[in-house]
Amino acid sequence: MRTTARCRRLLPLRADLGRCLRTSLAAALQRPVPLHTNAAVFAASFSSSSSSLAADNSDVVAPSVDDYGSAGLAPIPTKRLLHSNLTTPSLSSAGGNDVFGFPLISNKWFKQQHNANQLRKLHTTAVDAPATKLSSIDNDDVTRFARLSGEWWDERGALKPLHSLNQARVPWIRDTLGSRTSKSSTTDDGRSSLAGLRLMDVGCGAGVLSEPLARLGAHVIGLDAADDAIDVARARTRLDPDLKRANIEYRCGSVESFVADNPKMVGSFDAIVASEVIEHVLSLESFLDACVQLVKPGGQLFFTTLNRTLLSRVMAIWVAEDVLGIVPQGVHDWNKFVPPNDLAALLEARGCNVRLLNGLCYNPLMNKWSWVADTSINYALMARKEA
Amino acid sequence: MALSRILRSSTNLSATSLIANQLTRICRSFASTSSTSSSAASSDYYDVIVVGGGLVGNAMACNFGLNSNFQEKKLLLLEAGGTRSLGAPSKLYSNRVSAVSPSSKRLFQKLGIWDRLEAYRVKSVRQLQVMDSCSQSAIHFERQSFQSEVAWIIENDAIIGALFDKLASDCSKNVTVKSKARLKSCSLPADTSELAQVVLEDGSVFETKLIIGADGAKSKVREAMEIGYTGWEYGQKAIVATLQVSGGADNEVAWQRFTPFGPVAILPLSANLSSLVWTTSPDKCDQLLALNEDEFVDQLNEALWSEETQDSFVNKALFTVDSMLSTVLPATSVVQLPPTITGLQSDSRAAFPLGFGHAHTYVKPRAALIGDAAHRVHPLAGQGVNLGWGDVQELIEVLQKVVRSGGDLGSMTSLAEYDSRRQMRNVPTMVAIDWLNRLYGTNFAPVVMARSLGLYGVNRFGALKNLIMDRASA
Ligand SMILES: Cc1cc2nc3c(=O)[nH]c(=O)nc-3n(C[C@H](O)[C@H](O)[C@H](O)COP(=O)(O)OP(=O)(O)OC[C@H]3O[C@@H](n4cnc5c(N)ncnc54)[C@H](O)[C@@H]3O)c2cc1C
Repeated sequence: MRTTARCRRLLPLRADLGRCLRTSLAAALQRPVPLHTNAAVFAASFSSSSSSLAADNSDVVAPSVDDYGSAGLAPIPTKRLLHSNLTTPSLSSAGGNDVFGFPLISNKWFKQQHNANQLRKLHTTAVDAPATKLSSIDNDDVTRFARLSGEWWDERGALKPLHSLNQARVPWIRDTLGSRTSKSSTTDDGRSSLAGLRLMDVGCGAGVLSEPLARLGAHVIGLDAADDAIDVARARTRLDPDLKRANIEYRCGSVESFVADNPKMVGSFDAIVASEVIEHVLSLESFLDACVQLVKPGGQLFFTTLNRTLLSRVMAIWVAEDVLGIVPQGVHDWNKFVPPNDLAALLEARGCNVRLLNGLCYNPLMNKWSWVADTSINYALMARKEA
Repeated sequence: MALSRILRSSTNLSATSLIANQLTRICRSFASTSSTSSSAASSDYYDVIVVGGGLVGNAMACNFGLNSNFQEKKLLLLEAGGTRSLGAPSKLYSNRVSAVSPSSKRLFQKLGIWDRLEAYRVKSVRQLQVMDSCSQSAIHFERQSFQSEVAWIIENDAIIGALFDKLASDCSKNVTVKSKARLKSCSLPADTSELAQVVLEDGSVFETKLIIGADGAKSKVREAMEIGYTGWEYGQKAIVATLQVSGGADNEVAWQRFTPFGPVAILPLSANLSSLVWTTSPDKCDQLLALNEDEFVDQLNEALWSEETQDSFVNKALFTVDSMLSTVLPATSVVQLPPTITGLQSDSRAAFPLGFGHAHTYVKPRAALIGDAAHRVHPLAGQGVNLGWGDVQELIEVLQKVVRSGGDLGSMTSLAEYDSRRQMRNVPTMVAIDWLNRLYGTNFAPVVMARSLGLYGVNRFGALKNLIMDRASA
């Protein structure tokens, strides 16, 4: 794949990016597993823009632009915004942030988006970059990350929007999957509505989504590249009596390597969930290849992610350049955001049919997500693998 | 545990946070190793622990126990006192009664205790009449159709007994009731990565996902939550008693009358018995309690019927309230006279200090407050426990959503929803009741009346308010 080749070429850039890592590099070094760090993710940002993604898929029907509101591709002049005082992202609450003067959206909203994004940085996965020994590890960043890993379950902290996202995405997954099982008697009250189903939560982080799915009775494998997050997730399964009873296990690694290491699990999952993940993967294609391989024929794939639009771009610039200060000027994570049409085309090319597509909208005042028709920032997509 | 909490309270100082976190982790691992020796077995773990088995805590436990969403969850109800089953009606009425609102009645019906209570004894109120002591002006409320009731007067013990019986008969699968179990302390984690812990006075320890504080106005749970609380004593006391009355045909009207000594509420219990709640100053209260029964009854009648305290200013204000309320609730043309008090049921007098209390938030990770633990109001509007039962319904609503979507019962994301919804409901009512008391009290009003008054504004009544306060403490 061309993406991978480009990525290889760009790998030296990692040295420069080393300072910017905020994921568990130390842990990554200790393990012989491929590196699934943000370094790779950010390197990916250099390598694959929306156009390269489209080019890589020239064999599939090019998605007609803008059906889903993925307009706004007109380049925005890259400029540094005023967030240099946030070089150490403060994860505590309110105050201190200077205002990004976007007229329609409150600073708080940005902050929460930032927090959500920061979180995403913690559980990127599926980045099957060539294993290169990392040369520069910023211990500050490692400790900063260690601190953040303790915030995974502070629902009022950095990850507040991710926790409340459960109120939308869990019922979505539950009802979509639950409607397939015939146990209507137990689904009445939703308790064991997912009983008997095997799910994989790819990019599970510390289990914010895996846990509820397991409590609803599913057999869940949570997979994430960040082993600090996995440690937190595992610790909770020992602490929480529900989870002790539930069928949940966590693995550290990428989805690609999971497929390679567990050939017996190929085609064994009723559903794969990749929530707030694909906007970070190095190669979306190999990521999707692996996901589709894991799911049973007739099984379902659930995605939630960010669209690539003007609005999400504003966010991404602000988030990546100004708040996090980790992406070199002119290179945005935004380039990895995936328009629903692109995702749909990639899935169709892998023998999956898109069944559901909805927008999600976050209200920071109420800390509530709601389903909307507009998919221009956050959206959720479900596809079914052909039987 | 305690150490970890102290440490955590300093984590907002970023310089110390890392160390604190690490120490917390050490504490945590220490705690977990020590708890494995005593085995964190299911016997000392409950998904939910309700502290306080009063009117509100029992309703919470019962609602939880009967709800199909919680059949696989375990709840522990801790009550410092004893528990009593609802037997045959005693000859004498208890002097502690509640005016149960229509929405609380619906809760009781849902919990399947309403029929039982009706079979025991329930007095329906068809009309609420609010009068100034001078009776120049009277406000009364009734449902559009005289057939329907505005409230039901039920003895507190009967409600608790019926709830307790229901717990024993229908909820034993998932609800455990522990009486004579007084909470000594509880520790709450900073987030849901740990369980909350409850220590009883007998030394037993329980772990849980969610502590529900239903332990009344002096709540220990609230203390442990370390949240803001605004409270004051009114410098008033309420005398309760069971009265023998004559006059009203079926005794179906609940009366509130502002007297020179504070608001008097007379709530029908039967054709010839009513329950008294007389708010007055502590001095006057002591005097009244020291009187013999006949003297007390004379004083009460005088307070109810006396014309000597006419105050045209008050009358005018009352008239304003009246006309305002008549847009909300239809007034009847029949002004009934209050009943004449003929005697006391044995000596049923008792007195309670009155206060106001408001917890600035009802929730913390793994903790929620309901009932008087969260909010304490003046009894003059008969709203106190009804607010608490409203809390129960809202909290159940939120928790069942958590369970249905596989969440953690102590999750702040959901508890915050309970908090904001209830604060939105409770605070205006509380403020209105407080103003009412300061004005000249009274009503028993449905929330709608309290809200109307509240909206009408304290400014408008500012001068009057001061006047009334003077009068109330006279
Ligand atoms: C004179 C008077 C008249 C009133 N009339 C009305 C009325 O007509 N209508 C109305 O709606 N409201 C009325 N109220 C208010 C009403 O009584 C309260 O709102 C109601 O009792 C609150 O119930 P609760 O269960 O929240 O608290 P409480 O009734 O205070 O119950 C708390 C329970 O917790 C237990 N407890 C406390 N500490 C601990 C501990 N550490 N460990 C274990 N258990 C503990 C106690 O034993 C008690 O059983 C009146 C109040 C007064 C004072």
